[in-house]
Amino acid sequence: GPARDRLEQFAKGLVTVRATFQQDSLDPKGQLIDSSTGKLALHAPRQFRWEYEAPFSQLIVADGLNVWIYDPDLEQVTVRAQSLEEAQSPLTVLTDLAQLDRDFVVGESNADGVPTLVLKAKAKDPAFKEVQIRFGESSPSEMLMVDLLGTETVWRFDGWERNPKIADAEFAFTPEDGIEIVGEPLRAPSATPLAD
Amino acid sequence: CASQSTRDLPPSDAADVAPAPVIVPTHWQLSGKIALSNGQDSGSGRLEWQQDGDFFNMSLRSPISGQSWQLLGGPEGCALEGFKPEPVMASTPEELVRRELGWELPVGSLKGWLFGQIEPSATTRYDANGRVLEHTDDGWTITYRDWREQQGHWLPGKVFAKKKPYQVRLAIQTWNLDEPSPDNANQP
Repeated sequence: GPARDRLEQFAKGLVTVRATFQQDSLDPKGQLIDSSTGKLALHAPRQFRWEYEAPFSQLIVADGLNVWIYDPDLEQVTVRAQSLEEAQSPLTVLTDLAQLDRDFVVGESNADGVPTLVLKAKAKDPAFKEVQIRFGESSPSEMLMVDLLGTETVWRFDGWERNPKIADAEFAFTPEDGIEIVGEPLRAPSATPLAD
Repeated sequence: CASQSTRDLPPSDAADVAPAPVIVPTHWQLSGKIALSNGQDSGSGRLEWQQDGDFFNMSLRSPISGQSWQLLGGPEGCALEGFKPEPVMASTPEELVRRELGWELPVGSLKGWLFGQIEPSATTRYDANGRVLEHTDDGWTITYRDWREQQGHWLPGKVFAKKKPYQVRLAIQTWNLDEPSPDNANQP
């Protein structure tokens, strides 16, 4: 369908991409609960950096093996295996088409003439009912997620920059000392064990 | 509570400082961030907590997944909405959070801890102004950061409570100590 074509066109030849986002949360009656802004960077197929800047700062880094969720105010980072995380959140869908079909049932709609992918998570009891990704000419314009309570979260993307130079360090996370680490990071299988 | 005179406290950096008096307001709101963890995993997100006397209404929202839960209730019982299609109930918020989410959230104790209301003990440490820095209570170690004065009360910016393997971490962006709100938090 048209939306799937635009996603594949967007993902074709894409190694890295940057954009800014505004995220709004709406209650079931459509009332704005809160909004935050930030920026994202993706490195195909599975690495991403998702930085909330205002009103609270929070950083999410997926290095391909683990997802690090760092909150500077709470002085804590939670680390989870990326494979588990992905089944629940569609962030890597934009650059990892294999994950799209593995973790989601993909449909299309054309609400008010905008090509839209409609994703339903295959996970047993997914945290959200549905994810929609709307496409502009050459890139995703919006992502929308509805949870069990009917709360709608909308990400509006802007300023897509295809294949900019992005340092690998942006897709890695090393906690400073004093930061509380929750969870065990998955070790890369090829990493040689530390000599005791 | 029998306030222990500071003379019996072992020498600590604030040994000669009497603990600052603490009055716990009965009607307040805070908004900020909360993280609950059990050592393996953590749930964190935005927190709006409204306390009206014995009635509380906490809404938690995870910015990443956009998920939101509401934990509300009072002396007769409490409800958790949004975690499952139907609200789930229990007599206490502690039991409900433990049973449904697997975290430890000592709402009852937190209500006092948030304002530094503690039973002074040998391990309690204070800052130079007599505000509590660190304290242990019923197995929980509670540490405070960024005390600030507002509306005639001293209020912490951060409160971290740890009881192995559990943790509750709160970063409070805004406090509001208002008069009793007209409509009580809805009862379950």
